Amino acid sequence: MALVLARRFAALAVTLVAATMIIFLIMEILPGDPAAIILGVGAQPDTLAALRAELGLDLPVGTRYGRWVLGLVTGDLGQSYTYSVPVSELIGERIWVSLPLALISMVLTVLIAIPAGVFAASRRGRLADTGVSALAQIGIAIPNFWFAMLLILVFAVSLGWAPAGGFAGWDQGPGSALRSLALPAIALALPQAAILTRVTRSSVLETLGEDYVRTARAKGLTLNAALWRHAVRNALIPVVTIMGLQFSFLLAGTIIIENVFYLPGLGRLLFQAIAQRDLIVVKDLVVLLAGTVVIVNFLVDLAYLALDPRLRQAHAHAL
Amino acid sequence: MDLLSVSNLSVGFDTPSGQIRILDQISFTVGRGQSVGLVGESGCGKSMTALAIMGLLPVAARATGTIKLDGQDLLTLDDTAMSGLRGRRLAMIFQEPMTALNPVQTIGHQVAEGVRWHLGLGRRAARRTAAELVARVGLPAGRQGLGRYPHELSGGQRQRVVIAMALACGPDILIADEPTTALDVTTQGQILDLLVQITATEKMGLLLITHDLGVIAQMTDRMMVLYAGRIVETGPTAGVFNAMAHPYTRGLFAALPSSDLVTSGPRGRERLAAIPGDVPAPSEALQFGCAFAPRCPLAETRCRSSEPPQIALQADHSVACFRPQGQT
Amino acid sequence: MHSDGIEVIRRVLISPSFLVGAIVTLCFVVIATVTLFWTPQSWIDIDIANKLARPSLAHPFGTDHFGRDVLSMLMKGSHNSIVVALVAVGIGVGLGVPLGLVAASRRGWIDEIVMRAADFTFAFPALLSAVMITALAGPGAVNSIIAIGIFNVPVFARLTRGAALVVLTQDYIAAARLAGRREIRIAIEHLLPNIASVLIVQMTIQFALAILAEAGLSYLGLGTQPPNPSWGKMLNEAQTMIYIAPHLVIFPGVTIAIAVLGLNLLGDGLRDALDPRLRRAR
Repeated sequence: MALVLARRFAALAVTLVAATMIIFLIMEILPGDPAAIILGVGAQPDTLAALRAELGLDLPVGTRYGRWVLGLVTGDLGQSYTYSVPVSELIGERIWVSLPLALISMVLTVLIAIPAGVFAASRRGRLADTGVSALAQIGIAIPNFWFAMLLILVFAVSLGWAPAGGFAGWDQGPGSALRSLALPAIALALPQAAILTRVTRSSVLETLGEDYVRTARAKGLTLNAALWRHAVRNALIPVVTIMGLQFSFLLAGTIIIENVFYLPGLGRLLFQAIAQRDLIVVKDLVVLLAGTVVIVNFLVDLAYLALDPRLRQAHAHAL
Repeated sequence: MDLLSVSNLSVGFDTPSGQIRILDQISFTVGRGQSVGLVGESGCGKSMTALAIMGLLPVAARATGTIKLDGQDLLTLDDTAMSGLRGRRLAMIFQEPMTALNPVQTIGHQVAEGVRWHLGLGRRAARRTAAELVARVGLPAGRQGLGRYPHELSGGQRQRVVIAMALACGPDILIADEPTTALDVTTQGQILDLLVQITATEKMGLLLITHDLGVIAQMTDRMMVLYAGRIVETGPTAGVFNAMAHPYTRGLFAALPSSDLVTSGPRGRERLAAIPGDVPAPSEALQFGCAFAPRCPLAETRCRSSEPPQIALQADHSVACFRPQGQT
Repeated sequence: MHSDGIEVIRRVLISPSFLVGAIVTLCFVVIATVTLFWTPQSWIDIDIANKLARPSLAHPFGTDHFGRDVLSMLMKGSHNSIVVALVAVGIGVGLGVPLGLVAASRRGWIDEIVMRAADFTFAFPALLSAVMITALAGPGAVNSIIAIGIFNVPVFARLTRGAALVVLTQDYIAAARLAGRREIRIAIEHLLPNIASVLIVQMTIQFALAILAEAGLSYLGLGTQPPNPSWGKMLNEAQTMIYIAPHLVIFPGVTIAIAVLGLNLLGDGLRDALDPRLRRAR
């Protein structure tokens, strides 16, 4: 068990380092000189050179990469060109919008998808199954930002139950903050839930055909009891895998959804930073998001260990 | 009255191109403390017989006839009522111990599940019962033993767990579907010994399904030979072995490794060298005449045109063949 | 082989998802073709007097804030979606399939590099990267095509490799090798035809995903630039007028959803019909 964990941690570290290198390289290759962007068109060559020296842009690539990674580890993410505040401060403010949003929509996704998928699988080929599958197909086809607008149209414009956009802030009390996050979270959850429903359904259908489910039936368990006690837990392994992969889609979704609802979160910050060529913010944010994806997938790996005792043996390889 | 009485049981599948019959009018009984063997090659309908009795046939299958347990016809019960009998009065042991156990639950949990479900025992009482059951099938029953997962056990140990699960509520009828086929030779003997010992002490009725005449000879009081969904020969085991009447039974016997009656090779999957050909697919069989005729060395014209009659030979020993062997 | 083909065709035709998907997709292709020659109104002429009109006979889907006919804009926008998706999927197939074939037939370190690169791209949020690429390289149709296309490459590389590895174990491949055929010829003559069905299914699904991604990018203002209409951009403009002209929100979204749904159904139907596992269990 300890050996398994150690191996996973080593793999995590390697992936994280690889991620920082690739992001650094991409940002190097992409056109655009930060100093020129800050000073604008028509800057004097010597002021430009002075600023480049001040920003450390004239140092060799290796040194700059080393400094940047060191900064990431120590929490010194550098200074935003446009906001003139430390990037860590910007991120620290906005993460309290994006993180709750992602968590709420993930919870919604699971609460919708797993019961719906199990239900459809247990009614295979019948009307309920066809209905759930059709809804899932439609859910996948609907762009989430359009669904967000429909939610605004119905719940904000017509019914007035929730704000059409903006974020009240947590200091106004959790009630109003959660109200601002409700519609965005639903909009983010819809396509994820649709995909996860399909995965759950087919995974449960597969485990329902397993011998141990028949064994459970032979013990006298009713179909429903055998389904929930034996088929579902075994079916969760591929479901958890997809949930891990979905998390990266969820982060990407926040870029669009935060723009639809004008939420001051990380996605919107990234979008604005890109528009304003605030490259250091872009670089830090992307590495943060990519790091989150990598860590979430690491946690998914750990979840396998909890779900499947076979993997706890040292010689078992990661799925 | 017999404990389990199956009469005229037929099982068929509805397909777009008509009904396919898997079992055709089979009848037999199993008494308390009696051990009945059902033998035949794979694909002849043995497992369908077991699943029909357990009420676990695939959804597309249709069963007709009667299956009476203490006079109550199981085929008329709905699934809830059947669930109440399964595991409590009817129990089953499956062929593949590698897949019959849930890989993510401890064996203690899986053995205890039946008694918790049927007898409503609490966690602690169920655990005690599970420990007793596990000890009875010869596995370590301490906290260590019960907390193990299936992948930590050998094939024979897993099959012992499956047997413990089947015994949990003290069933009246135990159906064992090829219980030793997936095991190695020495383990096969141990598991069979365990089954003999348990069914004897518990006075259960045992329906033992196998492709292996050696196992039948060792284990059963009565036997039936199944071919393409029909019982072609049946009688007391000793009587049938003394005077095998059906060419198919003889073929099965000739296919046994001569040195040893109990085992049939490491995985028991050799083809029957003595009988050329294969069991016909259900869609092809049961049209006209004797289903075995195409493979039978003694087949005549009438074997291919009309169904052979059921001939009584000795007390209780009967055969469905125009040319029964060894009768002079 | 012949009767097998007939069997596949028969199963395809009785599959409801294939039928619905094929009809919907065909409708979009027909409409896009018609749009080349004719639209009910001009999709570009501004008619301020008639702005934000509700649906009527002259403008079945109403008009936008410049008085342009929404139906005609949607029809014209289909060109944009189709071209972007087609080229993006083309990039994925054109680069991914050869990479997958090379990885499968050479194995070794080439295989390792291709697959690790694919793993990494998968772990990275595709839309996030697309946003970065289009934003830093400048918004526009071409850059969004490249951004979406790049993420199709690992999809097809992996799929091709997996399918090719299965085919490569077949006897006739060994026979072809013994006959002295070169690897490239074996790949083209024997591998491609055998994995074509899997690729076609994946292409329809990636096509649908590309349409969604393009809509997302142009909604953010990073895709197609004015005056060419695109479905995503129409939704972006509609959002600012959500209180006064809610009908503008409805039609582009429904159009995207139906197009994507049709392609997904088509892909699902094809997969069911071509899936060898289903074929055996007839």
